[in-house]
Amino acid sequence: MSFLSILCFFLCFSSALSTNSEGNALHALRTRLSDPNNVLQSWDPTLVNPCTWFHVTCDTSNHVVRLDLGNSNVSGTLGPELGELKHLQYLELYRNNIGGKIPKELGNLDKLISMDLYGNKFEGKIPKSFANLKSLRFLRLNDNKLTGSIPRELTTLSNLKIFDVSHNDLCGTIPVDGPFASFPMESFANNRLNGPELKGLVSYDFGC
Amino acid sequence: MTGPQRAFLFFLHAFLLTLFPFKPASSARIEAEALLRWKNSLPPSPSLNSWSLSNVRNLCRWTGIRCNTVGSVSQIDLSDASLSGTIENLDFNSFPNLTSLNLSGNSFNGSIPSGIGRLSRLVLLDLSNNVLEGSIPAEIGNLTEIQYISLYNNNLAGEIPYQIGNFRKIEYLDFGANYLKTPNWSRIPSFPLLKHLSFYQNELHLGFPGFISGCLNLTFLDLSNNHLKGHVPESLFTNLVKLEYLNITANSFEGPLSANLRKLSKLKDLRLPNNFFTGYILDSISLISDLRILELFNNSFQGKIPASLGQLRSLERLDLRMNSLNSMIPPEIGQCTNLSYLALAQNSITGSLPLSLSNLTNLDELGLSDNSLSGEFSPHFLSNWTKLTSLQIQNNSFTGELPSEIGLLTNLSYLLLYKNAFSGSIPREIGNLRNLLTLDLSTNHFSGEIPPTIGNLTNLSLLRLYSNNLTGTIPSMIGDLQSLEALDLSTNWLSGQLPESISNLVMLNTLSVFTNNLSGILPRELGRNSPSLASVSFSNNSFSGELPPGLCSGCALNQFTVNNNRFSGPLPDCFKNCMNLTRVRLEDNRFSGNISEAFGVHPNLEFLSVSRNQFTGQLTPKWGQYKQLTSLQMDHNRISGVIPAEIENLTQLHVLILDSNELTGPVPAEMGTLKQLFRLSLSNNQLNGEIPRSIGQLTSLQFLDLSRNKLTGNIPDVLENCKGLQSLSLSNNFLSGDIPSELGNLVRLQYLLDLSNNSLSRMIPPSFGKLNSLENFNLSHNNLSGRIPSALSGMISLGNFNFSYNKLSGPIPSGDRFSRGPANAFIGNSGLCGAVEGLSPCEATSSRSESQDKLPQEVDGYGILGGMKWQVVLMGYGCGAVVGIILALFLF
Repeated sequence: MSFLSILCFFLCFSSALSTNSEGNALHALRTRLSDPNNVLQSWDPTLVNPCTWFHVTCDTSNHVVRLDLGNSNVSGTLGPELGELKHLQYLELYRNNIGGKIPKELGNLDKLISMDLYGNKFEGKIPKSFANLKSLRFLRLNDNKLTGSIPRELTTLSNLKIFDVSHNDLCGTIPVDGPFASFPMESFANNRLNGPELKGLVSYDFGC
Repeated sequence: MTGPQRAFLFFLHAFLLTLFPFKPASSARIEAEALLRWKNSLPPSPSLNSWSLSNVRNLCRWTGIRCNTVGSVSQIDLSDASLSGTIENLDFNSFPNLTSLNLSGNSFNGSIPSGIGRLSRLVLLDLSNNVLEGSIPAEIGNLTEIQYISLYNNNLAGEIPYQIGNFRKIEYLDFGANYLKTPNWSRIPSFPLLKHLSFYQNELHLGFPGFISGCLNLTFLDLSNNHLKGHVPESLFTNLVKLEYLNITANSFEGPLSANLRKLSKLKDLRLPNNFFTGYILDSISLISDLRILELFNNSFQGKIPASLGQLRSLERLDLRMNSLNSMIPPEIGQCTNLSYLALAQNSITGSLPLSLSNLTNLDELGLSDNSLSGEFSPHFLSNWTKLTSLQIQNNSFTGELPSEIGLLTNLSYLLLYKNAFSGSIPREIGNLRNLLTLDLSTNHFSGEIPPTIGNLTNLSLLRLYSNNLTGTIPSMIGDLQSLEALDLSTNWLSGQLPESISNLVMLNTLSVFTNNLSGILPRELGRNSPSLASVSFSNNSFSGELPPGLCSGCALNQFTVNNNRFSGPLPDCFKNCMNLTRVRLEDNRFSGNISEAFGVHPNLEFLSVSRNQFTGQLTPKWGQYKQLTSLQMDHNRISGVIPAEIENLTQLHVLILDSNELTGPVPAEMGTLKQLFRLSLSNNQLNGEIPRSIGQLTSLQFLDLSRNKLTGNIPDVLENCKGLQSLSLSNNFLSGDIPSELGNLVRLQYLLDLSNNSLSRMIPPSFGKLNSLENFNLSHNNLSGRIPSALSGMISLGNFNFSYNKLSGPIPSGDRFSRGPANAFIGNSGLCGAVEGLSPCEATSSRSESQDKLPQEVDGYGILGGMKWQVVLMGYGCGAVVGIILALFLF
């Protein structure tokens, strides 16, 4: 009996008291991140929910609405589990050393108002799924290593006020429809973007 | 030495030799004296009572002594004789005929003397199970007749002497459980007669010892628990075909399993766990047909569980845990009917359990946890697995009801079904499992009531039913679980009162019933009989009345969370004696009493929230002693007096929320020491004096709310050092003077900048134009004058703003963000003009440069207000409170 019993005790007593999916998602994030400044130290998965964790803010129903980890010197990657934070309004991860791809599951966060991933080492493409973020007003992805083109689907984000993808390695043309009509050119600087698309004349992915 | 002397010695020697056969007594006397000298060096022991000078004649009948035909000591066997001391005083020179020395199972310490090499006729040496230390003397290599040597389980260290290579007759060698290090293996030749070799649990490092593959008669090889690395040499599999036992557990061996493994066809016991083996589990392993124990756990094996394992009919123990196996469980496993231990946990195994597993009627332990198994759990299994003592299938996706046949497993000690999708009610037959120690059904979809039969489980120490859909009341029989240490019923739909009988649980350590519909008064005796009670959570129920007075009588209380109930009255007196408290949540109740008298000294307290209660009294200097405190939340009480300067000692503080109390006096300048603080709210108190300049030292601040106090003086320009500020509210104070232009450097400001309802004067700093993330901005009700700087058109994120009731003049900034802002954002300023409802249009001459030249054409409305209802509510609230903080306070 010994081996399984020991395993049992290890698993039983280390398993979270909480079954809160948002807490699990955030704890999964913690396990992906290296945290030399211990800003995630209070993220104890055995607590009822993540609402008393530092840098996490909940609403009155104990749903996570803010994640404030800007300038926290964390590194690592993001995972699909962040898509579990269905009530998230502010995802503030700017100025860290987070790399890898931006999970497409972030496109599930349809309550999101602000997504600040700028100043990291994200690579790969801007997920098309971001077109689902109908409440999104601020999307700052600047100063990363993103490649590919700006998904045309983002032109449907009618609430988008700020869009900044400068200082990446994007290519193709800059959309002109929807909110893109009013974004300044600085938002697209230092990429391999080819200037505003000429509708009907050039392929959207020209230059990519 | 001179010639005559040498000759003399020669003759003397010859003389003695001729005497020898006729004078056995003198040889025996030498041996007896040597034994007695040794005995006298040892602490007295009754085991050696027969060893005495007066009994020399009976030497050969002394305890543990055997002689040869001529009366010379040939064997010393003092195993398990309760002896201690050292063997350093045993004169090995005195025993020329000794063939067997067995001192195992005593408490001998000290080192193995190098003189042991003199025992040139020694065949057996057993020093196992002592506490010998030091290194093995190189002279041990002189024991050229040795056939059996065991130094097992001592504290021997240093390198294994390569001189053991001289043991040409060795058959059994066990150096296990010491601290021995790797010698130069190339100096050790293979042992042709060796059958049993163990270096178990030493400090061996580097690669596989080369000599082993040449020991062709080996049947038993144990190298487990060392630091060996690299590949296992192919020659092991091709040469050691007599092996019956191979154990290399817990080393750092790597690579795939060799196809030659099957050549070890006599193996009964194969243990490779805790290494870095990769690749597939070979089908051909099934050719080792006598295999009884197969342990491969905690490696990186991938792919399928071979169906051919079903041919291993002798298999009793199969442990494939903690690999990356991703197949279904092959039905053929059901043919291994001798299996008593089957562990497949922590892989990626899919599918449902094959019905053939019900043939495994000898199963004692079954561990399938942490896989992706699914389907229903057939009653057929349970009625056949009646020998089970441990059933662990947690963390899978099993569905359906738990069959009532579970009641047949009366030998079960561990039943772990948590984190599956079981539904239906908990069968009342579970009460038959009287040997249960651990029952965890948490995080499933169980519904209905907790069966009262659970009270029969009097051996149970851990009962977890949390996160299900259980209804009804907590049965009072739960008080019969005399061994219960942890009870977790949280996150269900349980109603009614906590049964009085719960106070009978004398072993109780953890009691968690949070998030249910429980109500009423807690049992008066709760805690009185439970001296180990350490973790208590009643949060999110409707409990009322006072906390039981004996709740913390054992002073073991560590985590205490009762937030969001209707508790009232003072905290129990014993509370202040709970030195171990780390986490206390009392918020959202009706607790009363003097806050400083309710708490004592709690040096380990990390988290304290008493928000939204009716605590009174003052914050005494004592509060500076909670040095581990990271979060202190006391808002919405009736706490008065000053904030003590000793708060400077709370250097771990991350969150300090004292708003909505009756605090007076200044914001203590000493707070500058709180470098970790990222959330500070002192709003809605009676604080006066100036904002201390030390606030600029709080460089971690993200949320700062000093609104609704009586603060005077200027806004300190050093606030610009708080570079992480996302929300800053200083509204509703008596602040005066200029707005420092340095505030424009707080470019992280996002949520709120509220300076409204003060007496700020002169210009709005154009530097605010840099606040391009700011969403809510309020400067209303001040004495600001001059124009609104055109640079403010850089505040591109603004959603809500308010410039009303100042002395501003001139045109409003360009951009539809301002022209389409909230309706009353500009009223009460006599001199403002622009194309906004309520303002008069600007004179063309004075406004051309600012309001007309870059106004973009009418674009479709952004629906700013429509999408931001909660922010509008916030601004309407008009108090400058930060919603984020308020929200946070409603939480646990």
